[in-house]
Amino acid sequence: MKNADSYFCIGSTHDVCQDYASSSPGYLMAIVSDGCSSETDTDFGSRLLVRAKEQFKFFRPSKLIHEARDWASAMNLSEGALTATLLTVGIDVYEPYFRTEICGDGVVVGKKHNGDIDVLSYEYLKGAPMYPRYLLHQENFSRWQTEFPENPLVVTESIITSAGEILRGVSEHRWEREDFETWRQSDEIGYGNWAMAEYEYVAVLSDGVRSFMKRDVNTGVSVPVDYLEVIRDLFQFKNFNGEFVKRRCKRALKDFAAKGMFHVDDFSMGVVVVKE
Amino acid sequence: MPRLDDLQQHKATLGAYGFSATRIEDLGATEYTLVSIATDVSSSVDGFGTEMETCIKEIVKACAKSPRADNLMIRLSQFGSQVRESHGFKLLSAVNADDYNGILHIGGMTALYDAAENAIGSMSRYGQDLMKNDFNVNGIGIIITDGCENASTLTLKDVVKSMKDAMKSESLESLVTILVGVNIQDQGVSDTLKQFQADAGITQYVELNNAKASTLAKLAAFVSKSISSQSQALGTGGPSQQLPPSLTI
Repeated sequence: MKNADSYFCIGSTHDVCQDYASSSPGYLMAIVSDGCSSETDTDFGSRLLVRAKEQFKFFRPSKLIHEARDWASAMNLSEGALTATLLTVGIDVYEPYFRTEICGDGVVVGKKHNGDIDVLSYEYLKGAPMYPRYLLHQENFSRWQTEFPENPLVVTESIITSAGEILRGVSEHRWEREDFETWRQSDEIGYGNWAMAEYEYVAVLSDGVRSFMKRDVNTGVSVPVDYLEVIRDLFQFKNFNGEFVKRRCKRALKDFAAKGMFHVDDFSMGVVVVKE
Repeated sequence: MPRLDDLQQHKATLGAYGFSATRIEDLGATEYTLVSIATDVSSSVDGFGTEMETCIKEIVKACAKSPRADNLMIRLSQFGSQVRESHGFKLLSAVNADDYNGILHIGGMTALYDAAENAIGSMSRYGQDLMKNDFNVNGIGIIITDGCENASTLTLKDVVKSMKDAMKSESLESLVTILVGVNIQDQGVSDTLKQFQADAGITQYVELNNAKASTLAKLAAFVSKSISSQSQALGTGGPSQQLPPSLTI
């Protein structure tokens, strides 16, 4: 079974959905983009970035951002509209690996053949992710680094066992300022390889997965929900046919709502599955 | 004659008749409206059997043109003294209108209760399987008869139970059922069918006092619109609004 599917929906506090997701079962690729809330028109920007990645599949972010910028310009959109993340999962054309490309913040989930789920959380300490837009020119990149000097990318690995037990923060890696410069020069942005021998599917999610809240029926007070618990309940695919991600997300969000859970930020997810 | 198909067989929960349906692994969408049409083929239908076939073909053609065609599955059964499934729940893309030529085999009495229970029960059972696999599902059952019950193995209580179970089990987001009395010219039959509708909890009763081709064409349009309406209601949590038959037939 080989398939790819995606899903996105608006958060409870948003008027416009700034997340966008798309997938190609033919190319076994899924793409997610999350527009920055503090910039205007990033709902357009997230769509343009995803479309750019769909059209120029093998372009690195530093190259396809220029394509997206040209389209934005033709639509009279400012460069700021492109302030959005870009997370992609696909398959390596030569080797049996899932390949992830993470430019910005978000979450990557890999389901192992043994039933365990590996979760990698990408978070920038100051909440200011390295957007593909900062690769347009050196000035953008330098300004971002200057505005947010102590802003490492922290990648935290957690495991959800097949029994549903959550092993939080089993490892952590920090990427510092100098790493970003290396990435910018080498154009190797947040790449990850996941062996098909070990994993049956890999998913990319926007940080909307970390925005779930639960309303207490008695007090009416809403409290944050651990994103690992959300992932544990969300990643219960019944099958992988057709629009399997849309089915699962719609059902999961309905079940969450019945328990008083909702996501305040836009939510998006894309999955590629290769299962024998 | 209908083509042989590759549907999965399901056993009945009540009565002797099961049903068949498309395998879950062959379904790709996120949601489906299950359409179950049960049509009377008792001997009294002999005078308008061809017109009934045309009516069913028109319903299928209209559904195939619907913007929601990819989210519809249709099942056809016919009932005389027994209930026989013409084909199980199939995607519209797998249905060919020409398959309905000569599909009705007229003869026998009227096993109305068996047919009604089978139409409702099959939607409920299949809906349950779909729901377990994260599909969102609702249903619309259309039972077409020209007379009263006189041959079933099941009773009215069984039909009522089937309806209540379908509603309680949450196997379907919503269920709409329409009883169509075709060529009803006897007040007694009319009253009996209306009573059946009320007792069984059937959503709507539509009565036609003849079976002319033009009348059945209007029936086809009414049924198609009702199916379309119920399909558009999927995801809202409730059923579609009833279409007033007087405006359409």
